[in-house]
Amino acid sequence: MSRTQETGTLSGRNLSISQTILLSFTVITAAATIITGFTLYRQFAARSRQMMTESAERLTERAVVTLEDYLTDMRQLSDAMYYDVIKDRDFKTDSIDTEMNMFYETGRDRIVSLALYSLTGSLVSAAPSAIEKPGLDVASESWFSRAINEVENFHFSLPHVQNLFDDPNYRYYWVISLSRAVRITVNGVPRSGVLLVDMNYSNIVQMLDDINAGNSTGQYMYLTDNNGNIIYHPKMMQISADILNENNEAVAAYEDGVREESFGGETRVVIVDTVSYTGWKLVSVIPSSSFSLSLSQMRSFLVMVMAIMLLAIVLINRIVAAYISSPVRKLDDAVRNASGETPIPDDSFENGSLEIQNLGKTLQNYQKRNSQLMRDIVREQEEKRKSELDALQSQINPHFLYNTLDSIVWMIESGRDKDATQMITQLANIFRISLSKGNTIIPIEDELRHAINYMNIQQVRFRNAFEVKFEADPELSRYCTVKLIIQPILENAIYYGVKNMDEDGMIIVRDWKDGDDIYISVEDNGFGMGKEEVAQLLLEDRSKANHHGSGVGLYNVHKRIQLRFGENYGLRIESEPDVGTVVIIRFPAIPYTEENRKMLEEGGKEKGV
Amino acid sequence: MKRTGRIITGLIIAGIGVIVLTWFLTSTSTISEPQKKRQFVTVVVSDSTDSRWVRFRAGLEKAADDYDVSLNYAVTGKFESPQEQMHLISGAASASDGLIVQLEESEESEESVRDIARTTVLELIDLSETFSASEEGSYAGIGTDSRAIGESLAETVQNDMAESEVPAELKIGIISGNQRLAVSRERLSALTEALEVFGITPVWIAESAESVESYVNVNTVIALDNTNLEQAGDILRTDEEPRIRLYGIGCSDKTIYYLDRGLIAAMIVPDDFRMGYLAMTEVHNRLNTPNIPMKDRQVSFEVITKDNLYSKKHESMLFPIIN
Repeated sequence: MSRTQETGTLSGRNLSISQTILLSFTVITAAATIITGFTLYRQFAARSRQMMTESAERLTERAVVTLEDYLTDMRQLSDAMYYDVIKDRDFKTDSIDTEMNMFYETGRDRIVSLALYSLTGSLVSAAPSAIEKPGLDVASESWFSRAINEVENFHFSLPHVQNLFDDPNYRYYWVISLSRAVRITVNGVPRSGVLLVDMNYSNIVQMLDDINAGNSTGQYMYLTDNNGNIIYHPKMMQISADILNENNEAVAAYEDGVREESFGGETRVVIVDTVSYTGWKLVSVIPSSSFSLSLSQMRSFLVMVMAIMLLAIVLINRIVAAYISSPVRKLDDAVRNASGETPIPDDSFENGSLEIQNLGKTLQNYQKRNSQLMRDIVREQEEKRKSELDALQSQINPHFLYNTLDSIVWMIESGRDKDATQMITQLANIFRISLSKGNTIIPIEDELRHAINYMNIQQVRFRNAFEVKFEADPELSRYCTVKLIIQPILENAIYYGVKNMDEDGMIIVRDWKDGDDIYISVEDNGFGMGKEEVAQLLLEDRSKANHHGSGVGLYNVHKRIQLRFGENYGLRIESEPDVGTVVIIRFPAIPYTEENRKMLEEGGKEKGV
Repeated sequence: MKRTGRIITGLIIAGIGVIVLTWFLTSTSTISEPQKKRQFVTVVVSDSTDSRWVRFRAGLEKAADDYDVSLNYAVTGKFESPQEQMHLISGAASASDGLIVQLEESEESEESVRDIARTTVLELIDLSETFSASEEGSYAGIGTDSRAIGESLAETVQNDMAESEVPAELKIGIISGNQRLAVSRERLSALTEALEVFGITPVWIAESAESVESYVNVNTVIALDNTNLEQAGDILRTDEEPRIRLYGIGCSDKTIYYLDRGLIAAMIVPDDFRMGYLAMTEVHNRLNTPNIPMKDRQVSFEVITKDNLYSKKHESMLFPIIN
């Protein structure tokens, strides 16, 4: 397996151990980090929301207390005015202008005016001294009628522009009217009247503006009466001008406490706290955007921390993955590099974990056993090849013996005993060389001597019907050749070349060296063959199916040379009808030594060539 | 493989470094970062300290506060000429992100406005109907419907006289105010046309009337701007036997006082708070979303009499709560 196969895609299943560990750990830890971060954020958000709400509740409570103190002051001022000044006076004779002015001066930063009206709405006394607007119908004012109708209570009006006294400086004041029924004694007769304290509305505005100014996250407070009419709102003018809206009408139905409401397409938390006595409701609004704003910094911080954690986790996972996979990778490399002759080294696994050591030893044993098996297979193959060679070689002997004995029989039948004796002697020489002490590789000189003996026998048989020439190069006599490769070619040259010629046939045997190869040619001037027939001569099937016998020997020679020296060597046949045939043997030039012989005998064609 | 591993490790460490550095820089810059630059809007109106502008200015300030815009309300007197005003506006434009301007229209003003609108967000108030609107929405106008105001005045005057205990022929004098302002010209034109419908022709029309003698020939005076309405009120206040009914367009504390005192029979009050608020809103929106064209707007007006002066509906418009 190559390295490129080791690094596959995620979708593939061929990730390395290191990658698998890194990926698995990273996915698991990233998921855990994200879930933890998300959970922490949710908890923080909920806690933050709770804290903001509680803080707003506390702020609202304090604002209500401040408002109540302010309104209590106003009621106490009214009480003091009534019980200390008005109640015991007889207005027939007494005037309260001085006392009223004194009270006004005392509270002038909080009140716009003090006024005492009779039941009919006529002004009894007022401070500061001012001219009442002409044509006023005070009795029709709501603050007046409420005071008369509910005599036990103080009554706080909604903010309105005071419409009682003429101010030549064109000034108009926003006030909240605090009215109450009083008893006025005139000439000893008690009568009903109304005491009016016009509170400076800007005090309440300033008070609540200051509280709202402290909120920078969009929270705000507003004040309504018990019917939901707005008394104060930080956007009072915008609401009055119909530029903005407020959910004040719904507030009338709200109980004190915290609640959620939807308004203007936004969900928001509202805290309602009722101001005692007046029934006014102070409403704190926390828009959902306020929560988001307060959490945005936390959110970015959390994302930052999680990003750093994730990268650190990837880094650590890489180190861990490398540590775990290192022995496996080392063993893997050793297994890759190991071959039949190079065993898996011990140091490739002996420092690894127990499992790796066991695996390494097992692989090492397998590798050794495998190498042994390979050697056995090679040896068996060699033996098989050798036996095949022997089989091929054994095909020569009966063929040649048959032909020779045929010649000897012919001589004896024709009474040529001397020639027969000589021929048998030649035959004995041939067999001696054939045996060659069992060697397959012999020197070229032996092979040529064998060929000469053979041709001597054939010339006796054919009564010198053809000539034979051997033009051997003495320099090549001590080079290796496979034995019995010339004789089958000579046999073919005789039987299919020159035997039946009317004129004298000629067979010439030559040898020469060209480069690293040696060539031996057998040339005859016989009948020759066509190209198609030549092309068929060295084919196994053709040789087996040869109808007139030629080719069996040629194929055997060709195959034996190739088995011993390789596919580049063997026979080459050139023939032309009525001209003759040349068979050229080619094999590598290997000096004949005992060492080379043994090497070639053992089938080392690759080593020898 | 090892080289790739080293590269990945290096990238991871570099990533952590970048994040930590970004975080550090962000957190420190949050502490020391100067506040985000606020948008700067200048308002140029004629005679800016006049009480006529109190409610308009209140609207501007509320909007500026809501949108966190820095408001520069330029202190001006009465402009001698449109050129003088344009000179001041050009100067303000170069130093402001947005401009809100009451324009004294002239032949050259349209070209000048287009030039200014190329570099500065521009909102015009009290713009005449004849002033060419910006086709591409690079500037816009806001104001009341002058024609409707003229018609409403005429109708109020006519109805008051018809419902009077002692109906008499209406003899009307009109104080038209500064006719250099196209909007004043339009109001006058609309008023006279509406009176024509009732068969009334003004006895006189003057830009200003500064003495009671001027009112000898009429029983009704209509002042078409706040300054002249105040002036007419001042004059009639000295009249021991009030015989002239005063109407007009106004919005100052003084005119309200005169209305409250009965010196002014009825008064048209434009919703100047709303005009100021919406003018600033339009400029702010344009500054934040420059691709959205500006749009002309109209604001409403109310006919105020002594009877409805203190109604809940009119209180907040006439007496803005200015903290």
